[in-house]
Amino acid sequence: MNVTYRRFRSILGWLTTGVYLATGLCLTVACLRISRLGPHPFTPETVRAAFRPIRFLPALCLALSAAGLILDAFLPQAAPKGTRDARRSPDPNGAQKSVRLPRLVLLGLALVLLILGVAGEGVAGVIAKAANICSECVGLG
Amino acid sequence: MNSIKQFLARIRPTKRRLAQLYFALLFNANLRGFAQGNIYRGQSKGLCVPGLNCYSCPGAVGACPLGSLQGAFSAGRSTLFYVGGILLLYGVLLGRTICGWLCPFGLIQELLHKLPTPKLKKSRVTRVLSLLKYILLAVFVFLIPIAYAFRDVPLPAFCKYICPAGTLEGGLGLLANRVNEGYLSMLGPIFTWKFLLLVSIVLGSIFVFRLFCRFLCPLGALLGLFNRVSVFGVKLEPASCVSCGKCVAACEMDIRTVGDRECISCGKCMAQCPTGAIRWKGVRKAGPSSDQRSPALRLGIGLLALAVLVGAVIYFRNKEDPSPAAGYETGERCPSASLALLSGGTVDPAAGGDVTLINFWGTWCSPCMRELPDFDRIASEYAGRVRVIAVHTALEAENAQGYVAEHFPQSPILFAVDSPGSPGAVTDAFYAALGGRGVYPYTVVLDRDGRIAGKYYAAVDYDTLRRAVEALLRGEEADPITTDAPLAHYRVRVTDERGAPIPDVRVQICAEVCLSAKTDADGCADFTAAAADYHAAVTVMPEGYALPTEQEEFPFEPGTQEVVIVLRSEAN
Repeated sequence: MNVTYRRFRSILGWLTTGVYLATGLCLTVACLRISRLGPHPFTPETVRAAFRPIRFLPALCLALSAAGLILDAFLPQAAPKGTRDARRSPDPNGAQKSVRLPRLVLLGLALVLLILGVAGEGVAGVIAKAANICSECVGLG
Repeated sequence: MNSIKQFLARIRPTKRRLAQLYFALLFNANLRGFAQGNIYRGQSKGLCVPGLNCYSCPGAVGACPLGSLQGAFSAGRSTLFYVGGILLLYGVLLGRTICGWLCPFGLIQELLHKLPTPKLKKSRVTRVLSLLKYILLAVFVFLIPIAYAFRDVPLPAFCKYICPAGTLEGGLGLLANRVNEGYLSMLGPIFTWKFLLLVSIVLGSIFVFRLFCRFLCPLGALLGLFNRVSVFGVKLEPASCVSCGKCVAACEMDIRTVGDRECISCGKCMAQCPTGAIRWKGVRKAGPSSDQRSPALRLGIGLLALAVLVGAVIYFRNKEDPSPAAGYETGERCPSASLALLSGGTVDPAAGGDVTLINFWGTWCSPCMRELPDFDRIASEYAGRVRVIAVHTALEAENAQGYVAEHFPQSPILFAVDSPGSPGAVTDAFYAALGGRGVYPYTVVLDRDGRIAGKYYAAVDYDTLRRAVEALLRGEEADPITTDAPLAHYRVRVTDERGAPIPDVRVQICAEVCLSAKTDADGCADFTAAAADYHAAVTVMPEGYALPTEQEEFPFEPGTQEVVIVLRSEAN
């Protein structure tokens, strides 16, 4: 039973992986196909036309993910195998140095900078940037 | 029954997961923004949140610390002090605990990693790759933005070329709303690159734990430098450590020791330590776990946190939006406004007489900087016939004054600003009235009668401006009453297959300029424009309808001024 389950779970895992990779590939191809249409090729129509053939993929991803998660939650888990560098020991000496002084100095510096910034109306500079859509930041232009 | 209990126990979220969800919601408490497809523009945007959360996300109520830092290099010394101080404070107080407990993009990656697939474990390769984020920090967050700041051109290089949080939360977050379909026309190669990068990172995060945080995130790299000195976080008690290595083995990050620069203080290692040598900083002995604490105290903390979250959501829901979405449409007369000029005096863009280009810009906006020379060229070449008004809307008039004095001392452009005492009072209202949606640069073209002839959401180049101006000037040079009128009336009629009119459909006609309008109760949209070979298109497809064929543009037949677009009802 356990062996059968593990085999089934493994197949489901690889199947899900395949669907994720296929989805990623389809998204990439769709985006590249649109981008080849010209310098500003994105319109509601081109986007809909490019993504229409793959619109079922998100639902498939969701269904396979849900199936895997439910199976994982109900059935016994394998013991963790550990990582490849499991034998590496921590370096306890690294944590021994006192950090009180540098911490206080940095805290003081942070507060001084903050006071200088707020007093000089530096907040307005942040608002100017953050309160407007930065078209290049979000990839719009 | 047992299996259900087991199932419930497994899906029960940990305290860390609850904290991540909580802060993701708190940082994006402007839920109204998602519904309206607009970003929040209030004063809370002046505070940088601890975590990677794009400030152009419709829900964001604070600023992204990384984006603010890149912008601060060209925004002035005070802003740099302020952002630097906040980052330093976050680093010293929390270090990379921010990544493990507060960062919304970290949460997204962890949830993706939960998907049941084979996983790639950490190794020497991933440890070497983890150094990549320090290179990105140095090059994209410091070197490039600083280099461009010396040329007075802000360039948030990391945001522009890499940041997947910006693409996901800001770009796709805005584009997901139908009201922003117009933004699609702004997309170009940068979006294609960032979208593909986002797809790669999302896919990679399914197979690799926190792929972006470990290898690419400059904020994590910066905060990691403070891990040793941070007030909060996990630490290893050397006296109790037996160097068994279980903590490092259990950790999914690329740590060499607990609490080093890669540690995100998730606390997973505590359960693995056989001697209890790992504990939270500031806790002298292994104190009572939260499960052993007073139930009343736990309930009180939970209720307080919930009250803060609900309060924030209600506050941002009811707070008056300083950027109303309504605006004057193409074909309507531009509203009158008295804009103060840097050179002294005022100007009313709606006064008419000349063809007018109104360009909304900011000294913090690099596309704005790049296109200003094109406006300067147009203003010089068409002096006396075309008026260019560049409206600086970004709160700091002094900043604009310095920039203009240095780069455009003799320019015929009319530079308009708000007075320093009333930042945004006139220019922001004017921007909103003309349909500005928070996107910069934004250009509105007025004909000689002061009517809106076209709008450009994003940067425009010289050739596009010249074509628009030439088209409007050609229309002006002949008298439409006494000669063969160069101005013509165009009508776009939208019907269904039975010929019934479809009202309220957004359509546009385009030749050298585009004009947009909605159909009336008769399914008609009327335009008055310079005669040209226009073609019509449906800009926003109404719900339940589709184009009957692949044809998307409908040219006006020569000699006719009406085109009929027949939409197919999807119900049939």
